[in-house]
Amino acid sequence: MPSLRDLRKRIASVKNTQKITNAMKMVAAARLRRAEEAVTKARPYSDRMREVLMSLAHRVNPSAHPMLDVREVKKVLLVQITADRGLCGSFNANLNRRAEAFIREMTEKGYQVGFISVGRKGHDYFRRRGFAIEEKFLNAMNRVDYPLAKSIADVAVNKFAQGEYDEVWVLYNRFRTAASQILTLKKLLPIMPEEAEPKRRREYLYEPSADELLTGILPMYITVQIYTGLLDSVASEHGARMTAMEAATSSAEEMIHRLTLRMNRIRQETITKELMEIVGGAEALKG
Amino acid sequence: MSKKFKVEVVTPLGVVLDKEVEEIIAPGVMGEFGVLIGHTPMLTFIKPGIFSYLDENNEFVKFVVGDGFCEVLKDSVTVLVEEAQRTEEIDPNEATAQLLDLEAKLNAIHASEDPEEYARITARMKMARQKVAAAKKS
Repeated sequence: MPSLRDLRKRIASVKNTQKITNAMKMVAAARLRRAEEAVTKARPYSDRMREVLMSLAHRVNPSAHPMLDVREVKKVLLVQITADRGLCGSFNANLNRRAEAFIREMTEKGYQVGFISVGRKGHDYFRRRGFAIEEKFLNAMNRVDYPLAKSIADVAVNKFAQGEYDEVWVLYNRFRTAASQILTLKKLLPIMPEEAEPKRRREYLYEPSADELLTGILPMYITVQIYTGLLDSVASEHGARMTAMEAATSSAEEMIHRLTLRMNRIRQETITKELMEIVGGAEALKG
Repeated sequence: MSKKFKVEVVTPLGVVLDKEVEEIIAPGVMGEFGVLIGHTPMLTFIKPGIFSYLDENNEFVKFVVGDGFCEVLKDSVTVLVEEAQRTEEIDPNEATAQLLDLEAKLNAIHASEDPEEYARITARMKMARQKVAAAKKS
């Protein structure tokens, strides 16, 4: 049976942990708010970009464009966006599991898989498993900006355009609410012009030609896709961390409660025992 | 009939401008161009430079903008650029520091070794130069 002193120490330590988890929760909540705002602010840009691109893509011959070109698949590239840090529930584990499943699936089809890691957690996981990582972007999640998205997009676009890879996929957590993230896997390249006709068909003057415009806008489009993916991932990460820390804080609370009960019981037992001894001793003396 | 049309400047960081105006001037790749109401619908690239619109007091309000494109429709103009900042809001010291920082980065690498990074930095320098120039003027 643990002694009173041990229990008291234990309670103090759990209380300390609880303070930490609670603080982390607050920090995550504050960061989440900022991250959510960034997601909302980026939306008009990406929506507009998409509209213009789709109306352009309908207008030109797809085979004329390397980035719309559907080739026979031999090698696929996966861009995985994870967090740099842990303590955010199953956030990273889900991503890694999904990435592994994807790699297995592609390998079974006879494709080779290349891997780009954004975020330390995914990188460490696959490096430990001896998986070759083409390119990595680490410790960047606390300052996600447009130039970062551009560098990532550049790498992916170049590898695709040079024919090194025939498809590019991106895997990340899409932000829905603080408590729920949606694991999202989507194909970035080649770009598929949507089947549906764009809402308003546009007739305009192109300067330079429609072809050249498309060539210029496509990389911008990929960059935006990556950028929104990054922002979503950051918001999801903070959401996941907030939820995880919330749970940890209430677990700590429960643990403190249980330990306190136990401590009180032991204390009472000791007092009772001592009393009995005193009474017993007095009885004996009377004898 | 109103002579005004809607103009929007949108960047990844949010909508910078959303307003009814009479005239805009934008830095296109084929040269600067102006748009008044009734302009032919057009799609063109924007290069780093000065974008401006005419405000109520008949004065031009200027923005430094980065790479992007501009879509002119019958009754609206949408400018999608990587960056946009009011010229008055640019801090000259910060702009200069940014330019120097990029120059240092450019000197640290060679065009032959990492052509992509080189191109990226030179592109960002164009934008930084525009900012410095605009900050000096205002």
